[in-house]
Amino acid sequence: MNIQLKMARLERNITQQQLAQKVGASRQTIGLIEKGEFNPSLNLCIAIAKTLEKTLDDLFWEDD
Amino acid sequence: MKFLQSDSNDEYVDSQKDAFKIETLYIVLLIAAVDVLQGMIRGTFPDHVILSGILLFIAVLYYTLRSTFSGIEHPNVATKKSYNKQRKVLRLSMFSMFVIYLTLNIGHKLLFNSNDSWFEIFAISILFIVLFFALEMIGLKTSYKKNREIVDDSDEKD
Repeated sequence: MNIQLKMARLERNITQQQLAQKVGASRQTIGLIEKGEFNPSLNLCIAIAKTLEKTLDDLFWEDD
Repeated sequence: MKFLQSDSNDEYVDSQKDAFKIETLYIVLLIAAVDVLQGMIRGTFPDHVILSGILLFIAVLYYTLRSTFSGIEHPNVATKKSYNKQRKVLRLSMFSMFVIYLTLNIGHKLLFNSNDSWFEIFAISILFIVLFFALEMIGLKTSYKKNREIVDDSDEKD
């Protein structure tokens, strides 16, 4: 489960649907990324990070 | 089908190999389609044309069923409201498709004096549209169910 992404999205108060529209993906894709069931491409990761004004580390780095 | 995926422990090599496999599949299907087409133009259907037809049929059927039952056909339908709206859109598009398909069949009978009876034309049109509609509805329901499972609690759920 990608908690960082979900938290960052909620911080900015946007829905999965809104994020999906901004990065050119579907709501299903965003939901699957948040659930950790889909590995997005680097391009999609960058688009999400830019939209949420976070770094890739903030969203996708997993601490041990 | 995991066994079809490349596994050389190198992401780039694997992605290239997977892309080449898809290209190979397209070439095979294109050859089969050309074979079926030349058979239809000549009006002769030797064994190889029938085999090509079966190959094409299986490929289309498999792809359609996989897409329908995996729930990826309607990736944005996650609320009851959008589900109902999409259902209406589907009904309308199915009706339009039925009219177009029926018109084409009637046009074919009138223009080429085909031996098909009017009953056959209507029955085939109805069967075609019922099957198509059923597949579309299954696709919509499966997508909706899958999306409900992954939709965020903070998003609107109705």
